[in-house]
Amino acid sequence: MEIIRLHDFSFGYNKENVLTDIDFTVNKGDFILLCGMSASGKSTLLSCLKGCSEGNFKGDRLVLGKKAGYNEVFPCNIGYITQDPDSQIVCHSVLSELYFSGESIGMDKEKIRLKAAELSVFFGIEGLMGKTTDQLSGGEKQLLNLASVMLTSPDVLILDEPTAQLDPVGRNNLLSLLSRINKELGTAIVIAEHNTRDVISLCKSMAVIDKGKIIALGDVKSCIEKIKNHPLLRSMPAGVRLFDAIGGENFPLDITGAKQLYKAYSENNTFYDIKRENPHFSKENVIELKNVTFTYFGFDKLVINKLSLNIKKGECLFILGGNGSGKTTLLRLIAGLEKPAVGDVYKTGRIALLPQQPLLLFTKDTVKEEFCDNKASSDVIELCNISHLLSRHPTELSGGELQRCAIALLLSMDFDTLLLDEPSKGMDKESVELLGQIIKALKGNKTIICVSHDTDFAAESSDRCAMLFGGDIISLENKEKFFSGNEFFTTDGVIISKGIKDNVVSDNDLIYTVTGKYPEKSDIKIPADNPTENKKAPFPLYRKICLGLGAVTGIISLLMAGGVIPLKFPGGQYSGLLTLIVPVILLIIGLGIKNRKFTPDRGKIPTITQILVGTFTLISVPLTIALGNMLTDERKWLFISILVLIECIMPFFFLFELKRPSPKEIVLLSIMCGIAIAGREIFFFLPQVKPVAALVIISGVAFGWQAGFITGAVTMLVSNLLFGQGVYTPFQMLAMGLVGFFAGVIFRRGCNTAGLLIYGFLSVFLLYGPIMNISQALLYTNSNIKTILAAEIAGIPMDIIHGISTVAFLLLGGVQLLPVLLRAVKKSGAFK
Amino acid sequence: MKYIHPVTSLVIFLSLILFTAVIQNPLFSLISLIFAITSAVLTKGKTALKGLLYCIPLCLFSVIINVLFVNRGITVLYTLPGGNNITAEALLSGISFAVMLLGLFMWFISFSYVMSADRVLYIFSSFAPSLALLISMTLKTIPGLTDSFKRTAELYQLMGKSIKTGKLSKRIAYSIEILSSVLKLWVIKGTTTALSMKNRGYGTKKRISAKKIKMTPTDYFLLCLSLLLSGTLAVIMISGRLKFSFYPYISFEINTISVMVFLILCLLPCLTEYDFILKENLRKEERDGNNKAA
Repeated sequence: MEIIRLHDFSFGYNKENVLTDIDFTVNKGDFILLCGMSASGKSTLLSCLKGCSEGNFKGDRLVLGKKAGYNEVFPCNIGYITQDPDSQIVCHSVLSELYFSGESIGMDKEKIRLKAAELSVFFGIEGLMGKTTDQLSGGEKQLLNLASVMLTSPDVLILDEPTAQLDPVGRNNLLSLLSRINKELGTAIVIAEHNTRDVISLCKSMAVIDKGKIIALGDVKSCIEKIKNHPLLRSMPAGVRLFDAIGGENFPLDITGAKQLYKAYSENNTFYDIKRENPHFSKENVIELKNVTFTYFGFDKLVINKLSLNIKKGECLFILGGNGSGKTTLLRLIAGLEKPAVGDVYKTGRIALLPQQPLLLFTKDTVKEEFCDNKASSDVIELCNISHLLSRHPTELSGGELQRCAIALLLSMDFDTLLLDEPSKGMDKESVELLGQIIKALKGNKTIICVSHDTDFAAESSDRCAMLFGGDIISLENKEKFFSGNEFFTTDGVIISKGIKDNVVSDNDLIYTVTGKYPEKSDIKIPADNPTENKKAPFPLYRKICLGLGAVTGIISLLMAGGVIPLKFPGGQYSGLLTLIVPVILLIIGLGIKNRKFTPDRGKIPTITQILVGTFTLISVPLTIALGNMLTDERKWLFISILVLIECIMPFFFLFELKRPSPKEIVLLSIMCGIAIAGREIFFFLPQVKPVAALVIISGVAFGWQAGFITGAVTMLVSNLLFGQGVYTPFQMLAMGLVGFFAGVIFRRGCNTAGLLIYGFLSVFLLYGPIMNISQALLYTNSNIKTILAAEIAGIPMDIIHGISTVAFLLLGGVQLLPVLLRAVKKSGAFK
Repeated sequence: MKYIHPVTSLVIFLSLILFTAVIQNPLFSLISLIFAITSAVLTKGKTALKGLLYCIPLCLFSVIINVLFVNRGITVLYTLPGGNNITAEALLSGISFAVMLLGLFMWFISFSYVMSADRVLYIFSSFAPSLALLISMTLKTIPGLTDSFKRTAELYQLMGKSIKTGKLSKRIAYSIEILSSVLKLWVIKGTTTALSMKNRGYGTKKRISAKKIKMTPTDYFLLCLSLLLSGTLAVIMISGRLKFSFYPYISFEINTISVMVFLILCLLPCLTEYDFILKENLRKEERDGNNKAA
């Protein structure tokens, strides 16, 4: 039975076709492996199958025999999983995550519960049910994603490199489950994988896509024969490459088959001999570990146990080992991020660590801005082959490109040792190859230490390999000796050639023995790039004068406010603080703060519901106060204020519910709330000063008044859920919500830096501060006008500190974060 | 209390907090404080008493403010140089108020423990599914964000930009730089999350909540009982029979029924918690016994 069909289908962005003339059908029970080089259109084809929203379409998309919209998703028929296990997860608890799709499409509640129970048994994840999603490992997260998608019993599962981020154990687990799903439930599976090693024996058919066209379709053997000598084959398992090189009757699906093929070939032909130069290491040790012991949980459970290791200058050392063998901990010890409990780590030179998410290293708008303008940087840019990427925004780059840029960036900072943590994880084969080339070029000059599961990568790039087990190094050998000595933990090339031909280490070696040549280096075309000069502006005189004047007037107005300089102000002593505005403006000019403009892309006319709800609030609040005033109790003001709070908060939540926020909106909101709460922990070194107000203001500007209020209120609610509730919760919710609300109202047509800073100070000083001070008076004293005034006046110094810190946060961080949010909003079209 | 249905526990706690805050009667404040402490200690153990210590300065502050700013009352203890009188009534009223405050704090300690995030989410999800989803997603992003931040801070440390040592201005600048790169990363991750939500049918229909926590007969009984008790108490309070006025001299009425009703209401959290601990201990003994026998 036909489930999805793309007929005569073309797709592209901006006139350029990514897919052309596609005719692709998925039938019930299919298990299709989709292969292609990177940027060949694999992922695009998969997202067109499941229904994607942006781009130019041509041709038909048929789902269950009926013509369907190009961007129509069918949650009951098509399940889709991508490679990042973590960001696909939506909810906090495992159970809500499992229920998510059922709850979204309004399935019967009983059925959801029953289905979830069945699935958790089928997937073997019952043990995870009581947990929260952040406690799971990557493999468990991906299983949960799969289970959650399966809740609606889809007819077809579309998987875009689902195992790229997983370790070997998690990968095998997921693949065997996919095979069971296909066999037992008859669910069709379309999977794209860059590591085809195990999938090729599981799948029933294969499709090869190249430059947006399907060039081979059918069973695995015929496909491989059709694409003979295609560079894509380099990323295939050793057996397939061997078959491609020497041909034969039987297609080797697994290692045994490949071994038989190789043996048969050896009987009639002679092999080419592999010549290998022995690497010369310098005698000098860069890093020495002596009897290092490390533990997170006390001496019963040692992570690293009496480990000794000498790392030579200029070598490339790979540390291999299974899950939980302590690889990452060892790397952290070498980097100096952890201190050993016993033993010593000696280091010479500077050490750099390449993060698994290289994007974290980039803070500027283009890659180019990160590099200094000197010869050293232009050399590393050449070396890492990234000169064509310099003018791009870091977020537009693919994983491999970003990784190369990050390496170049680290090298330009002049490091002697480079630490890599699972650099081949989530990368396609070409990126790994390019990385290998960079490592080869760096060797001798820089020391490289790499932690990995990937034996193929180690066999290609390393000088020496170390096997880590139980916290100690079990063997440390040159790579030839290491891999030929191992029987299980080694490359396919070694296993296939064992007993037939010596000196084979990598899969490339294996192919060399039969063809006499190594694959050519992959090259990237480098278009010309126009470098732009980046000069530092001089420090003009007027700014110096402004700085001086600002400092002087600032001190004077503070002295006046403090009463040291006796001057009478009409509104009491503290109104002297208003004179602070003059020095603040002078300082802004003096510090050379650019007045950047931020324009949110939004046309705002209130809807009828909003007007109705607004009117209701405007009527009900005074009414409550008037009615409450007639009560005679002394505590009536607390009572009234809580009622007023509820009347003010509820309309916003009500509007939020009515609006049914789109996925992108709710995700952006949750990130802003999350970062505002996490900010409390992040700025641990500033005990009283937190960036919450600054972040709420930014989201008010970027997302609009409604979302601004929600961000403020939810931030305070959740943060009190985590740190303990009190009567103050609703007061904080309203106060912070209003800060975000007015930011959205005032800056609905955009804002500039000066306006943002002034609003930042005033909103905290005149809005958040007073509300919280009054709430304290209402809560902690027998309230009357006097105590309220006293509490307000007592709170003023704290409010000023809070206001100034908010201005500082807005100035240092806000102007950088706001464009990020505005771009995200513009790109996703949210909050219109 | 955690094995009581969230709605029932919410009703019990809210009515307790409300009456503690609203009834201006030292007797009620004292009863409330005693049971609040018992409940907090039963749920959170010794940490609850630590919390009590932290609250004492605030209560002292409240007493002092009351004494200084209120000069009603007839028993003058001392006259300040400015002419303001310190009266015994104001002092007593301040102390009574402080007792009430302490009681509130203590109730909130057990309230925060009992109404943990997942139970609050359960209540929200039934009437405000979008808001509940937003809260759930926020809770999910927090550990991830903190982790990203820590990893990035380590990278910066290796590059010589430490946020743990050095000048404060530099540390703040680096922290903000880190924060902005973490935000960028998460905005990109967010597109995947949004896609995953859309593919799983979010937005096609009105969201429902499939989670279910069973209401047992005990839950129904406790819910009805607490509603009944609070209703009675509210009627008595509005009719003015709980009046306790400090000024100009102390005068009050005692209503035995209302005291009894309030006592029972205060007992509910303690009793359910005690019952649970008792059962837990029994189970533990049984288990130990089984282990010994084996």
